[in-house]
Parts: sequence; structure tokens; C-alpha cells
Amino acid sequence: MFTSRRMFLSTLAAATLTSSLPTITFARNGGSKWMACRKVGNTFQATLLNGNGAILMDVPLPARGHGLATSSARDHLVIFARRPGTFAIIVELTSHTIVQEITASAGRHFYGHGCFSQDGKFLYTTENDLESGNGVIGVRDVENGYALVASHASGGIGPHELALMPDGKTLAIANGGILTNPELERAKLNLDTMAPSLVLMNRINGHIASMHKLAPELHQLSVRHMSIAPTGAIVLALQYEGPKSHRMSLLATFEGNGLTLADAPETLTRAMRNYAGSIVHDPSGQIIGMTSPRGNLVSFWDANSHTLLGQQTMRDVCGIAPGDMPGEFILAGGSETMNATPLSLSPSGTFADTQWDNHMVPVA
Amino acid sequence: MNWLWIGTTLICAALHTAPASADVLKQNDYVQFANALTDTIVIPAYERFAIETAVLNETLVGFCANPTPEGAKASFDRFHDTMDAWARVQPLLFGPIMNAPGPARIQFWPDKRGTGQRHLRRVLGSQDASVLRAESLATKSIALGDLQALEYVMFDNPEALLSPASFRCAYASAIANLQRSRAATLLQDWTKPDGYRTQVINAAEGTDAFFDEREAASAYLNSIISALEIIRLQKLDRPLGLTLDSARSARAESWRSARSFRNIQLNFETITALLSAPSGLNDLTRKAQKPDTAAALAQLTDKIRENLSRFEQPLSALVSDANARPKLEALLTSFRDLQSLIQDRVARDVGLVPGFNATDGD
Repeated sequence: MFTSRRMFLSTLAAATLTSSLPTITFARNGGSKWMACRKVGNTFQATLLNGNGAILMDVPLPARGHGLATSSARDHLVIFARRPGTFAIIVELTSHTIVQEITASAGRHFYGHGCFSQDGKFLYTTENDLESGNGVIGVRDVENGYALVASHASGGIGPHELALMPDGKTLAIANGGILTNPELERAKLNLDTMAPSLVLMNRINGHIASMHKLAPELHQLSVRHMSIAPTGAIVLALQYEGPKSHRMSLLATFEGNGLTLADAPETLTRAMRNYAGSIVHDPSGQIIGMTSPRGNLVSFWDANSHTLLGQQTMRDVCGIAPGDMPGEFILAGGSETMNATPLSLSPSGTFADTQWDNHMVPVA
Repeated sequence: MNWLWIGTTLICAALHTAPASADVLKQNDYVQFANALTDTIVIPAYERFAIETAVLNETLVGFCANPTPEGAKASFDRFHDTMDAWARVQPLLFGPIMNAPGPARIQFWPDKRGTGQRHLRRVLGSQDASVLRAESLATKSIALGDLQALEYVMFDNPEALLSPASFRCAYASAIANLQRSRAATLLQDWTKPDGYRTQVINAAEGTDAFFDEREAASAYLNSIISALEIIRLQKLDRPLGLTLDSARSARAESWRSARSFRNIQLNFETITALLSAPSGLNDLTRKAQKPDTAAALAQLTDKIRENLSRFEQPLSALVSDANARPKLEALLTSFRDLQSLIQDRVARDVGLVPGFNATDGD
């Protein structure tokens, strides 16, 4: 990573949000857009794309970004710093302008993900309290300049992705379980005792409604990323921190009664190298797509039976978002984006000097 | 979809993924690469570190019992020998050293928040006797028992070591004893029957530490890249600052013992050894039939070695010297060029390009 403050300062001085019109006009579906972070040369950006791979907006970032959160009610999109970063940048989507940069409060850093309330009035972020090492959910008042108005214990260590349940009241939080401290770089400090969990939290008062863990012998399966179906069923993408000779299924499901590990064929678990990077449902909510950048593959699953439907190969693939149509997904990895279904894969764009980062979100 | 668009994309994709090496390098080439570096560089470096920390500990124990100026000189010499051995190990950023809490348990640096000094001032101020035994020291903040703490205790007030029943002297021995024990454990963790050496040697069959031999080979390649990045960003760029006004000499590594450059030189010796050892990275590049890349590597490493040998004053002084800064900037650029060469060209040539997301860990 060559980017330093040295470079960012000069980038910022010259930076304007580009709004270049797409040069290719054979749109698949006029309105659809996606946004993801990327490394371009030695700089970091978040980039808005259409389905043809045309760039609609680039937002310069001070350092590597990670997850993104959108609010259609508010016309805002938030780009989060990669762990253990402390910045989050808020963009107004229709005007393509940066409206604000927020910073984690003293003694905290962001874990890279967040989500809005349905009315767009509150932003929820996963954070680390450095003193205690405990996970925190920060609550920010959007209308009051994203001021931090409350902090709730996440119920575990290392909360990573969180998402709002369809009831609009409950936050689902993936407590990854891994203790880190920026003073020790990204060293994992508690692999022997880690205890990941899925927590369901009342977003209004921060009360933990329920906490769910895998069996004790599976405590090294870190619960990190999630997707929630319109029915409220949660699927979780896992990362295994135990010996590499162990083969683990990396898909867990929650339908109201505790976590269940999906059955996965050994050929797949071997290929995924104990690491899933991102997970989403397709637009119908019937199919799950889960990426493995270490395995250079994406696997597709039936959202009801949790059986494997198929897989596709794509180098360093991690970003995945629902596509335009039922069964479709958009993928990002290396310098490419692709359109995918469980049965097909086609390139949708190649981007100069680009390394697409972990996550991609659809933008209404 | 437009056919021209698809065609262009596929051609681009083909250019990106054409790994010239894949056909040339065989499984055994990666196995030989990782095995050779393990046995000729890694194990000897950890052996040396284990020996030097043990000798330092013995020397300090003897000196504290009978504090003479000769004993003081021997103790400071042995401190430098220990740091020399550590600087040779430092670029090997994988294996047991990465177990929690990572390399910081040997050297807590960079200490961006001043945590170490805060703890040390408290302990030295209160003469907290609980730090005088390695066993209890091991349970405290790592910033109280690492080589950075030892440097502070010895170099911040060297005369204090000579007073009879010196607290500082006893504390320095306790740190040396703790480091002796940690260095011995690191060596054992590599060499014991099912240790990390075995994990590397058997990587091709899949082990608890590696999925395959390419992952073991990648551990070495990525370690070289990370070590170069640490030299650039932490060891040179941070003390240098953006401008003369923002130079910070106390951000130089080991500034109290005036050995910032020596650390970098020895780091670089290990890095070049990983390149030039028989079956090392240069040989792997040649086996991949990329002699131009191998030549570029050799040329750039020679240039850096020569540049490094030209600095005669401590880095902590030079960062604030307007005349020296251009030379330091040039050194920084050479390190950046070498990192780019290895990260972009060598990695591609030997078929070990690290995936951006694959190496992310989030």
C-alpha cells in the first residue's frame, strides 16, 4: 500500500467528484447502479457504476474503504473506513456531492460496516471500544449532522456487519468474536477463546433481544457478514480461524431458532480456503450468493433449502450485490466486474489500475 | 450486450490473467523455494536471536551483581548484538512470531500513542518490584517487557545502571530474561517435530498452516513485500515527515541507541538473503524464465545496499538536516521501486500475485 497522507493531501487538493457520462449507451436496465470501494493506482476511492460498467461518480477516500450503507429515504450513502479506520464519508446521491465526513469518537474505531433506519433518521455503526475491546453499536442522528447520540454494547467482541431486520425495529449484528487492537496492527489476540455470535438488538433502546452462537466446538468460525431475506431469514458468511486442514461449511442460517450450519460438499469447502468474504440475496430473495476471494469463486445457494446450486470462478472476487433481475448478481474482483447467475458469468466492465475492494451495494 | 465491448473485455481479461510462469514453474520449484529459505535463513536467524538474548541475559545478571564500567560496556555491546539478531529476524513476518499478540511482544514499535513510555515512567517512578521477575513481567503490558522497553531502561539514564542494587539494572535483566524465554519459544515453535518448519516442508500435502506449497511460497514473498513496506512507511517516512518542520527524530526506530540505520541495513540483509540464497526468489524468477526481472532485482538491491552504506550519521539527526533529506527521499524512492518491482512484476512472473481481497482478512 503506497498511499500515505503525503499522497492523499495532493489528491484532495486536486479532487473533484467526476461525473463523467457513460460513453456506452446500451443499458440493460436504465436505473440500476452499484457502488463499491476500490484501489486505483496508489489512491483509494468509492465508485458508482451502472450496469454497463460506466463510472458515474468517484469519491476520493483518505485511506482504504470497506462497507457502504444507503438510505433511499435520505438520498444518502455512507462509505466506511476499513478496520481500524476512523472515517466515514457521507455522499448525497442525486447531487453526487460529499456532504460530510464523520470521525469515530475518541477511543473508538469503525469496523467497516453500518446501516440506516428505514426512515433514514439514524445511522448505526459497528465500532471497537479500544479501552475494553468490547464491541459497540454507535447510533448517529442524521438530521443533527450525524452526531453520536447513543452507544450500545454489541454483546460481543469485533462486531462486523450489521443490518436492519424487515420489522424496521431490530438490528441483526454479526459479532465476529476476534479481538484486535490497532496498536498491535491487525493481530488476532484471542483465537483460542473467541466466541462469535449473532445478536438481535432493539435499535431504539439497545436491548439485546437474543444472542445466538454455533456449537462450542465451532467457536473459531467467525460470524462476519450477513444478508437478510424479506421474510427475516438471516444468512451468515463465515471465516474459519482454526487449522487449515479442517474443512468447514462457511454458510450459517438463522430462521428464528438458533444458528444452523448449511451442508457443503468437501470440494467446495476445500476450494473456499476457510474464508467467505461477502454474502447477499438476489432480488427475489430466493437465491444466496457468497463470495470467496481466497478460493477465487462465488457459490450460489437455494435460500429455502440451503443447498448448493452452483458456483462460478472469478479471480479475487469479493464484492457481490443483487443484480437487476431475479437470479442475477453483480460481482467485483481484481479489476473486473461481472454479471452472474448460478449458471452463467459474463464480464460487465474492466477498470484501469483497479483493485475492487470487499463490498458492493445496489444504489436505488 | 455489444460484441465489441465483450471482445475488448475478454482481451483485457486474457492479458491480465496470462501467467507466463504457470506453465514453467512446477510444484517442486515452490517447495524447494520455501524449504531452502526456511533452512538456510529462517531457522539460523531464530537460532541466533535465541543465543544473543541468552547471552545478554547472562551478561546483565553478572553486571548487576558487580556493576563495573567494563561490565556496563559488555552489557551495552550485548544489547546491540541482540538488536542485530532481532533486526535480522524482523522481516520474517509469518509463522509463530505472528501468534497473538504478534511481533510487538518482542519489540513494541512504532508506539504511536506513547503507551510504552507512559508505562515505563510509572514503573521507574514507583520502582514497582513486580517487573523484576520475568514471570510476573510476562503478565503485564507487552510495552513493559519488550526490546523497546529495554532500550529505554538502559539508554535513557545509563549511569543509573551502575549504582549499587540498581532498580534499572535489575529491571533490564528481567526484560532480557523474558526476551530470552520468548526467543527460545520462537525457535522451538519452528523446530519442534510438528512445528512450523514441518508445516512449511509438508505444505504441498496440506497442513494446519498451509493449504498448499504455493501458499507457503507466498508467505515468503508477502513477507518480503511487507518488510519493505514497514521500512518505507514506519522506519523512514514517519520520522521524515512531509516537510522539514514536520520531521520527528523521536519517531526513528531505536533512536536512543542510535541504531536506526543499522536496523534497516540488517533488515535489508535478510531481505536480500531471501532473494539471493540458492533456490531463493532470484532463482525462482530465473526458473520462471524471467532473466530480465532477475537482473532488475539484482541491480536495485545493489543500489539500495550502496545507498544505505553512505549514511554516517544517525537517522534521528538526518531527518532534521535539510541537506540530508533529499538523500533520504531518494532512499525512500529506491525502496518503493523495489517493493513495486517485487509486488507487481516478480509476483506475476513467479505466479504468486497476492489477491487484494484474498489477503484482506475482513
